[in-house]
Amino acid sequence: MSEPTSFLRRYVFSTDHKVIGKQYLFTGLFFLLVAGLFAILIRWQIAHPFQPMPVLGHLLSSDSHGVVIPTEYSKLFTMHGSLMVFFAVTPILIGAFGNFIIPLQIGARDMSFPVLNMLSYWVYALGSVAVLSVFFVSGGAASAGWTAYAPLSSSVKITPGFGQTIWIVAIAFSGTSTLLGAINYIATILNERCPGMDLMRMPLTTWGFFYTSILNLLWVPLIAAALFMLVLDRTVGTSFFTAGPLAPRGGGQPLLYQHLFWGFGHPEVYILILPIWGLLGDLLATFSRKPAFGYRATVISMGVIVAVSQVVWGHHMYTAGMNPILGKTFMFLTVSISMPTAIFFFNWLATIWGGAIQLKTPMLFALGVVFVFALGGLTGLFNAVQALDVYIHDTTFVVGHFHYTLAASVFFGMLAGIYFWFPKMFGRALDERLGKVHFAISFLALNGVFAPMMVMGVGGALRRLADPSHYELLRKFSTWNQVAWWSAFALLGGQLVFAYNFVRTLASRPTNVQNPWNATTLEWATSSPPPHENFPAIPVVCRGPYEYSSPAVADRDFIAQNEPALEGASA
Amino acid sequence: MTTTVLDPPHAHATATGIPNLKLGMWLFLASEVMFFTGLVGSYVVLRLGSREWPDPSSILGLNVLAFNTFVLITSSVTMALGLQAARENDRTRLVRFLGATAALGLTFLAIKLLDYRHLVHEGFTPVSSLFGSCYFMLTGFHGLHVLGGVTALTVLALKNRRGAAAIDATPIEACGLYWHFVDLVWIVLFAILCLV
Amino acid sequence: MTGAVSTPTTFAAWLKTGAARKYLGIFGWLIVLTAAEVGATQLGLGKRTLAAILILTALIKASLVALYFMHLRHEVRLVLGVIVIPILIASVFVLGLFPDIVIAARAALR
Repeated sequence: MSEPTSFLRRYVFSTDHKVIGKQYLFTGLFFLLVAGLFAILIRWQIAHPFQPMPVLGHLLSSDSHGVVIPTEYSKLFTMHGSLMVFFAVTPILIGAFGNFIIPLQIGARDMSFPVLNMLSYWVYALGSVAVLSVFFVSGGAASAGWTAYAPLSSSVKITPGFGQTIWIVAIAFSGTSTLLGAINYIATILNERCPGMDLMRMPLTTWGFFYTSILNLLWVPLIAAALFMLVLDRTVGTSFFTAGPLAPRGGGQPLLYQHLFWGFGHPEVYILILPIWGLLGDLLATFSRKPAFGYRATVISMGVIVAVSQVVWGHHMYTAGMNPILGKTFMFLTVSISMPTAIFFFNWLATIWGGAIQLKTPMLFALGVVFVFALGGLTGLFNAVQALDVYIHDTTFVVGHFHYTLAASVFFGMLAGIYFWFPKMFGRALDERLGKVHFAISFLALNGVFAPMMVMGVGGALRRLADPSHYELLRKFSTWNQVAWWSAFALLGGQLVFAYNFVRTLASRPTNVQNPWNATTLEWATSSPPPHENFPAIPVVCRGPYEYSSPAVADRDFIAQNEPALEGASA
Repeated sequence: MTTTVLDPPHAHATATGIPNLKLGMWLFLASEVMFFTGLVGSYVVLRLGSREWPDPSSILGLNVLAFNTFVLITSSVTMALGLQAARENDRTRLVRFLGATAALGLTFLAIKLLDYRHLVHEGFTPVSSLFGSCYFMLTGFHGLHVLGGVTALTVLALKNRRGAAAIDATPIEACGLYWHFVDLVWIVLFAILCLV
Repeated sequence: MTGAVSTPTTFAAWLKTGAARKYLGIFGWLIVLTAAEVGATQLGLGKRTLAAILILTALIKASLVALYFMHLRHEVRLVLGVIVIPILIASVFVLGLFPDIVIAARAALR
């Protein structure tokens, strides 16, 4: 496997998973910033209805004069959600981390299909161009929500313009990229493990990517089918999802779209969180200097969740007018999914308990995940119960719930991963002090943005409203909305600290420390950054991934996974 | 007599024992199962939930569709025979069977396009009714998959024309899996879309 | 039998050898079943009976292709799992659509 020499082959059309991972990382971070700025605009509008927004207001369409008018608001929350899910989080977590880490952690030289890997990135890149183009076409950006329910999205009479149509195509591009990646990851994890790397010796991070890829493999095609039918409805004039007067020659059913969308949409949210659950296992063990507690139970629980998450999609549709039988069925299944979640959550706590905890920045973010995921997960239970959900559906309580699990847990998990693997990827470590400042601001600010949403939601504050203060009932929340606004502003400031740290470190001289965290897994058994072929020789593994504080060795508190078997010790 | 050809020298042993290309193709087919579930499943429930649904035989030319089914099934046989030839390291037979499979696939597509033209001419279009939308959507996506398969078969036939070394049967097998799957989808569509 | 050139046989003779013969046998069954399907539509059966027959024949044909052409009959468990589990999941999903898109819709139409 000779290393390429030309600039194009090394950095643009590379088939090296490490380069592709970095490509995903930078593109994804760009979209994280763009979608984040949209969120700032949203929070401004809610806190200061129809007042022109300084600075960012100039990004809005020229005839709005910096004011977030209702049509602009619909575009903002639509693009914020879809950019975050499909163009920021998925590429960073699954595209960047998955690509960079999987072959290293299993002791392989690259993915099973390196050329397909490269194609996956460029399909995503094309989708990125497409999704950004919606801002410049007639009618502006898509505005039917990230869910794009029919007939709002399927009828050009209701939502005219090219933006909505191009958006559908862009999401399909992103999905194709993810699907090709899923095939690659599953084949790689099954086929390319080094000698001794049994499935039950894989680090939990790799398990997270394995499970995520299974869900991606199965459910991305379903949203692809739904999106194709949607775009046919929009362009050709079929009526799969329209009925009644909108479909004079015989129509389909709008509810079918919701079923198809959430059939994908629910597994999708687990797709986004599974890599976090995985990497939390690695990080908590590493920074507690203790093996991950209940490794087997965690692996099995995550597997059970993968299975059950595929049959709970209807809990997003409790108020859509579903057949009552479905409501009860979905409720039962949704509530029961909290059990395996609790198992590995307590395993996290047991991992930390009694450990020699090192409060380095990755660990701070990991602990942050534990906290916010507890809140996010628990609030999920309220949404799961149909009788309660009828009251809180489409309020900001739901928004709070999924932001605690997504914007908070996934976001913190992503940052934990970035701080943790940055030294491996770039040969230099991010500054610890700036990292701690970044964490402190982000942690306080995130809670400041989303905790009020829970309170307001129970009080009746509806989501997707450009101006809730229009309703007298909701005017009492103006103080909470101010809290959310200033917290959002502070959150942005905290990310600027991170951006400064990121750029400054990249510009600094590399230190090339191979294993700055004294971690056990295989990616730390090679240089930082790794050579083109990953390892000088394929590692041989003879123990599990978390041999921390082992009594078998007296002089150090970890045994690397690829170290030769100790005399007299059992694997 | 079953003969197996070893992986080419540069291929390495995989932890599962299944070659990457073959495992990758099965994984891709799993995703295709879900993709066609979205399309076919939607058709099934939309039809069952409709007040009325035209009798397909009153609109579609069943004889043409039955002939096309025969064409595609035959192409699956030629594909299977092509894989057998590859395993026996018989280049001539392999390329002939790959070519035959591709030709049959193209025949299927040509007949389908002519059939489309006839149907549209008769007023049966993707927008003339829900049945029309479903029919063109399902057979259209299937046809695109056939086209993809024909492309792959052509590439494989050209690649395997010459060579002194042993034939690598794994790409042939992987292509065959895809082709049989496309045939399988048509078998289902023919029964539940065109006949019933 | 790496690199061995097969002993020159006529095409017809080759078709009668083990593997080729099996494929041709399956081909025969597929054609017979297809003809039966077309024939069943001409029998003037009720919609439900016809649908049941056609679904059955389609399943048999699909199984023949999967088991013999795609060699699933002799495949390892991993591959079987990769293809069978999604089929099961897909079936559950479509069944999950029935209460809303079929049953409730029909009730509304009555």
